[in-house]
Amino acid sequence: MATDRSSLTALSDQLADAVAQAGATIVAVHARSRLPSTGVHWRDGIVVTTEGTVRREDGITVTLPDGAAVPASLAGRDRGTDLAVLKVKPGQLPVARLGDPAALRPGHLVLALARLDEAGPRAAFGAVSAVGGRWRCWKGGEIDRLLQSDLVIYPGFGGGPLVDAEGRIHGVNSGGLSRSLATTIPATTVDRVLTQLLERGYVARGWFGAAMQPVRFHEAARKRLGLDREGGLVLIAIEPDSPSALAGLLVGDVIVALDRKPVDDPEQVLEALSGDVVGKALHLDLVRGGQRATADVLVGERPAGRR
Amino acid sequence: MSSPGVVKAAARVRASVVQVRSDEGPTAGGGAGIAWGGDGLIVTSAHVVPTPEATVVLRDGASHEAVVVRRDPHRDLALVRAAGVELPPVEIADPRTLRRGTLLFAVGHPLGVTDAVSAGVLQATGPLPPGLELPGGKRGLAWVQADVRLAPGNSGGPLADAAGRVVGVSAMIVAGLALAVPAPDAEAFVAGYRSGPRLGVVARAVVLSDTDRIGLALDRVERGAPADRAGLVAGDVVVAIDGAPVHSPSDLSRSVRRARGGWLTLDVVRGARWRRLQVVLGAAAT
Repeated sequence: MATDRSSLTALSDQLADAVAQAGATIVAVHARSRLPSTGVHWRDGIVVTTEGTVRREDGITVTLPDGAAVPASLAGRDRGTDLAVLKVKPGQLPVARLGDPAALRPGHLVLALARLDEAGPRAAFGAVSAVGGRWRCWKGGEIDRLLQSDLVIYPGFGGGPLVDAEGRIHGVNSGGLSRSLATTIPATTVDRVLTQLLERGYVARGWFGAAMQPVRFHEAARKRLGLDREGGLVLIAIEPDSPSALAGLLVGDVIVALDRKPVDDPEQVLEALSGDVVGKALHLDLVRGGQRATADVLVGERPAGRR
Repeated sequence: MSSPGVVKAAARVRASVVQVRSDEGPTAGGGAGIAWGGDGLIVTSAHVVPTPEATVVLRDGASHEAVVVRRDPHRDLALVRAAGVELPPVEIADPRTLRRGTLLFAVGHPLGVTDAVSAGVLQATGPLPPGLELPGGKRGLAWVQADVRLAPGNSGGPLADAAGRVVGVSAMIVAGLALAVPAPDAEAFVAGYRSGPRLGVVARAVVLSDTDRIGLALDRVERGAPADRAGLVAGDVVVAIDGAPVHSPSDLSRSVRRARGGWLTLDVVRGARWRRLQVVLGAAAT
């Protein structure tokens, strides 16, 4: 019995160690009224939190582990991945010790951490529920890896870290990306978005400048045109001076392939635009006026206000 | 996680947990109670026992009549006494000595499932964080705040650490967060009953007819207790303590604790008559 009890106590102590260690690198972020959110000191002088919890751009303060409230400035925000970056004076607290998100598997014990006041870090405990590959969240951003857990994201826990039993941080928890399971934005995505936000304050997203909807060809038309699929995307609007307009696309053109890959769902176009494609050309196979045609669209940067 | 470790720590605590049922109140289906220090004394939540009597059900199904001997709705604690019920008393620990993230587990009867165990971790001990409010404006009270899933039926049950020591009395859930009364508060509450000056009554608030003033109707007066010796009887309605109008039953316990000189003056309505009584407070017989 003594051995059993001490092993449970040992696990309990290990969890408390993990909370203390990772908790020394997190801050309370005061960027909305009433309830603060949590931020992770990701690099020296750089704090990451969730974009949805940053409701004001000026007068932001953070509470450090020692209880001191210090000013922070918003360096950039990306609604698509629900990440925001704040700058604080460097050297005030230790930097997050990161784990490898790919090492987490369903069943691994994890903690969600938060800091809401001067009184110390708060923790929620659970297990990794699901992991997976690259996915795009409903806010539009691309997340490098699916990482979900059964943790309760309590009020104020948004922006806080997902921590393993060794105290390593695997990403930033978002209360705004899903309802049923807690979703973590993995460290690789945080690093990628952070770099772009620090460079220009926002994440550049590809821009096409055309509205489109799925369309189907008659069997006869499909055979005559030599198409191997029956679907395509018909352009229903072209924005003036947009990449589509500059490429000479016309309303009524039907896109049948994008960079030689057949397309029949607008989602596939959004996916093609979500990577690092600004300034690159996309090759389109079209049907225009009953004839096959091609066009090259130089992908632009989505204008401010539509990110 | 070593499951036998959890099982044994939980088994230890479960041996001291009972079901507490009352005919009324939000947990009419039953809450939990913790055997506390022997003498048939069982700690539970005040909201589990809004009535002066309760029923205590043991794990073997045996049912015992119990009397509510102390109640503090503000702190949400109650002490019931089930004569003849002797269970192993729990070992308690101060949650303020535990580190954040420590494993905790709750024992109770969530949604009627008896003696169920749920596990999680300690978030904090102290006042609630900014942005969280309690119904009724109980600001400033200290709580054990835990990431443990509770449900109605856990009320009054223990929150314990990995060594099986009780650190809190489960009270409520706010924004998904489990809140428990810190064990030292419950310990002081029990000690207050055992040693403190006391009246020896169980009271509830009533609205006085013909007025909208509040009175405290005495549902029970313990034989031989100070109230009994002063001539109070069940059915009396206390309308003022030391000349000040009363508002809730906790006014009585508070006045008893703060009484200077070891006595209280009570204004009492009995039937149609009004009378003023002096009560000499005494220590409880143990």
